[in-house]
Amino acid sequence: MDFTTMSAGRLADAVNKGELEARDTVEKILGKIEAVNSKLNIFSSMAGENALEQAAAIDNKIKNGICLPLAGVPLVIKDDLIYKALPTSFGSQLFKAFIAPFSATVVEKMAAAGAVIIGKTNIDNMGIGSTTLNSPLGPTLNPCDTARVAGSAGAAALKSDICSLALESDSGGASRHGASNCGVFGLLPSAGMVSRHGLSMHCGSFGRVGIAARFMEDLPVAFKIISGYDSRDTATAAFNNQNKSREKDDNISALTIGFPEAVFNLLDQTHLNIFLKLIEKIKEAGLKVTEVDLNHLPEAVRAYQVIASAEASSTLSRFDGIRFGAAVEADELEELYCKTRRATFGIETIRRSVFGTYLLSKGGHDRYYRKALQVWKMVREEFRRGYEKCDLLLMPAVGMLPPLAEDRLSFIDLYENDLFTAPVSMGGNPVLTLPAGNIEGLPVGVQLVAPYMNDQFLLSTALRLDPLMATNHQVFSEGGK
Amino acid sequence: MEYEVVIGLEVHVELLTESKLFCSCPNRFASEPNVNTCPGCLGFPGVLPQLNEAAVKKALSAALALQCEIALFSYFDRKNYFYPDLSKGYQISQFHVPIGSKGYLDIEDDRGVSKRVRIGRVHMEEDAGKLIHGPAGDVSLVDYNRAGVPLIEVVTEPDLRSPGEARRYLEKLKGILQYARVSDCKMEEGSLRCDANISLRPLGSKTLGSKTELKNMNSFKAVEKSLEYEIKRQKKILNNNQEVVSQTLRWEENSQKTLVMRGKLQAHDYRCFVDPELTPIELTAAEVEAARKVLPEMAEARALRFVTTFDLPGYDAALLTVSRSLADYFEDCLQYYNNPKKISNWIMGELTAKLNTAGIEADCCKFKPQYMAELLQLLDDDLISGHLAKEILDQSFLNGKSPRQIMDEENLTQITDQSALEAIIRRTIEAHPDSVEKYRDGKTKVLGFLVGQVMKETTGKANPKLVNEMLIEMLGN
Amino acid sequence: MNGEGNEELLKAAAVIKIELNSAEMEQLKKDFSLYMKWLEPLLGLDCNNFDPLLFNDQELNVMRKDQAEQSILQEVQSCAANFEEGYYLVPPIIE
Repeated sequence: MDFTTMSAGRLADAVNKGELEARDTVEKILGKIEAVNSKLNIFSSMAGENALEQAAAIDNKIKNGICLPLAGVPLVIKDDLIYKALPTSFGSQLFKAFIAPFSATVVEKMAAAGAVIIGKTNIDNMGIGSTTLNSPLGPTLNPCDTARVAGSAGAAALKSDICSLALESDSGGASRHGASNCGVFGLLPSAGMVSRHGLSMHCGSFGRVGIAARFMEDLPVAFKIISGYDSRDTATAAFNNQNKSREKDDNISALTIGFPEAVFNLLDQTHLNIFLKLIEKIKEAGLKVTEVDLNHLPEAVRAYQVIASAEASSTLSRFDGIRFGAAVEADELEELYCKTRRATFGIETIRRSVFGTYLLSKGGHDRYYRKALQVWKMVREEFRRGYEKCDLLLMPAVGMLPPLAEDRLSFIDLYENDLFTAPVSMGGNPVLTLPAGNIEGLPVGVQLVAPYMNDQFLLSTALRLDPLMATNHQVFSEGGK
Repeated sequence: MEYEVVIGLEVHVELLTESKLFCSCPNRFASEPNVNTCPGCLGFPGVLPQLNEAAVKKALSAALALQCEIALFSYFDRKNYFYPDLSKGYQISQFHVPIGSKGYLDIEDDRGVSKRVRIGRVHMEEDAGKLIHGPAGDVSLVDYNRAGVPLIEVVTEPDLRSPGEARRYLEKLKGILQYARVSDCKMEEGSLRCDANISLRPLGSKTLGSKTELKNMNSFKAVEKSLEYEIKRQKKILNNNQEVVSQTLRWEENSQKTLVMRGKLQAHDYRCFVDPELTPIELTAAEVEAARKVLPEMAEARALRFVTTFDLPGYDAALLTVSRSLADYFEDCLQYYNNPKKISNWIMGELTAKLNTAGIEADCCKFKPQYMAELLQLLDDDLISGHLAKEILDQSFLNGKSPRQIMDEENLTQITDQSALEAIIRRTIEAHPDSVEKYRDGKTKVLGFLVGQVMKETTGKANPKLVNEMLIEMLGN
Repeated sequence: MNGEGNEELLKAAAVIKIELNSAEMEQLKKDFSLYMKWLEPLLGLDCNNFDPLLFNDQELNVMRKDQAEQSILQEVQSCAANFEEGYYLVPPIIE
């Protein structure tokens, strides 16, 4: 049995039935993990032998008749999610050995479900960004083209067959870019569906936990495990207060898929071709397709940045060197603050902290921050109106190829690349990212976006649409089919 | 030049809840530093705030007790600044929409005339930790036990016109908040803190003068004294035709003066914005009314009840209800002893003075209500005299032993045995022939001296009334 | 970028405790200039018929019962670089 060709669900099934041992999978992974990691720079820390211990414990439970929904499923965790058995670096050199005193809720849930934690994946400093170009460890490379970044190290790990699931985080598009760049599947559940306790956020308004997988059918499995009310994250009160999902009859041709007409102006020809080809497939399958007005995506992504920076400047103020983090020499308080933060933060974090401070200050608050909050309301309204005309929105995930690892793209260019993902963040909508095609051998994905709190509808519809869109419900590692 | 004094007070009050405002750490005094802390109140990344429902209820009670208009919809903001005692680098507060506004309480001005002090806002916020300076001056120490404790901030309009008014405002505020069971308001323990803003302006002027902010007062008296000092200081400056610099001053209790606070930063731009990690609070009008109805009985109402139910004079009732703990003490005594007036007399006559001197509240004193009842019963049973009772109370107040125990241990029973007294009285009469002669001459006042001598010889245990009677009888022979 | 913008930037950096050397600060000024230019379409947009969105959540009144719990102190305190005899240590502060 080769776990690389099995969905996580199928793998867990096999382990529960005794057809496979958790240990077997982990051994195979450990056998190649070093080689993969030196090539792609995926991990900030690895469980190593401890993964075998975890697997042994799971195998023991299975032998005692216990069934676990993710028995023996190898999992990687983004390094802004706290896991107390390994260091949590938050993408900062000052925290490379930091052992937190608790684990994130989603990590605890995954472990309780039988997942085996293989390691923590590389992130941009403080989790800010979608490229890992701002990681102190350097960027994680794309398995499909190692001259380029993966965007998400979790997605790279999946594509390299060293895990079956990846726990992700996403504020402006990090997990969605990663899934798109590496050609894997991603689910970003609605805001409030999944507890963020243990996620070091830079932006509380938009930060969420997500999942990535090689098989679309693993997304609902993982979603079931990680979602739910947690008193430690008050936003999850929404989980208990869910309205009924949009119920549509089983006839898939009753669905209407919407897409923003703005794509014609905002995408370059190659990306537009891929997108339109997908639209054609959907039409051919008999579904209704309609254009919707989402005419303020450029303003929306700017408003997103203003709010995200403003919040980051505040939320990251807790990094002052006093209660956590490695020591810094300082004779005066001011020196302690400045030296600690200089050692904690990378250049993008510094930009957001300083610019964000300006945007909240007396000089910037009304003109920028308050304006951004108005645009936020406007964008939500635009999406709401869009859903009056369709059941699901199809949107591009990215507008450019994954950046070259050596290229020094301007930070503005990187902000611009959130054009299709950041506005969706502003609605808290659930998003499923799926592969749509290739440009020069590099995967390109799209976002399937459902109305807020309609996660079940999104998942069931995507699974039904999958054969029609022929997006390949499973992806193979580099060098595979 | 005549000046008008303009004072405003900002009071921070710690709420009586089991746990902190945004985490479940215990909200209680700890003798060790950093024991009531957790990743939440220590500002660890990955921990979200969880609002304490009891804190909201208490804040609402406080706002209602202070006659505020209640904001049916309020929320929390972040007030951003760096200081070691502020673990997140921001304080969660209610900057934009306080839970209560436009309230008031009434006090007496310096002439005894009732006046209304307007309360601009009552809002919720979290407390910061404590900063202590190392003795060698080479390090400072941070204790986060207090970080995250729920507070309300009560801010007056600049309606106070004298240090005396300021003190009376604080006393009244304390009474109200204690009655509402919002806080124990103990300034000496830090559960009530006060900053004062003071400025002077020429009498008749409508514009406010340049104000200074006073901090670090640790008692109501210190507030009053610091304001008195500051008035003198500002008057001197203004009389020299100079300007009062608007700054923050620290009251130094030891030297009894105000000093400029070094290292105090310029006016902060707090960059307040709505905290995205907390949900707003929405109250219905019905909920607010229900809260208003169950507000614990306030002082005036309680005094009235004492008058009507216990037949106490208004004067007694007013004194007994000044503080909630004293009023509670009085009513607790009644559970064990059935004479309200006698209890009242002994509380007002003996106990309140001791409480004031010791600086404690009735709920903390060792002379429990049961003891008061026991003491009064011993008096009724004639086992002790009033004089002995006072002595027993003195001891019990200090050592917490019951009156009966003290009476037995110290052998403080009253001597009422006439035959025993007879011998002592006879000896006294024989020892003071000139006094006896004076008495027989008609100078009856000398009897007091003779009674005193008997009391001295019996170490106060003789019943003075009986001694008096027996002396008269025996001298008459 | 005009002089006023630079001053605001320096002030913001000081407020948020970010200290940069002169070369880094020069670069940050350039970045700030680009950033402000990039934000211009935001300023130009008329959205006066929209109130600022203040609350992301759809929820209200999410509160916790008032119960005290002790945390495991040793684990938490061992995260600090300078923790001695019960206190977090910082350089001396003059008040």
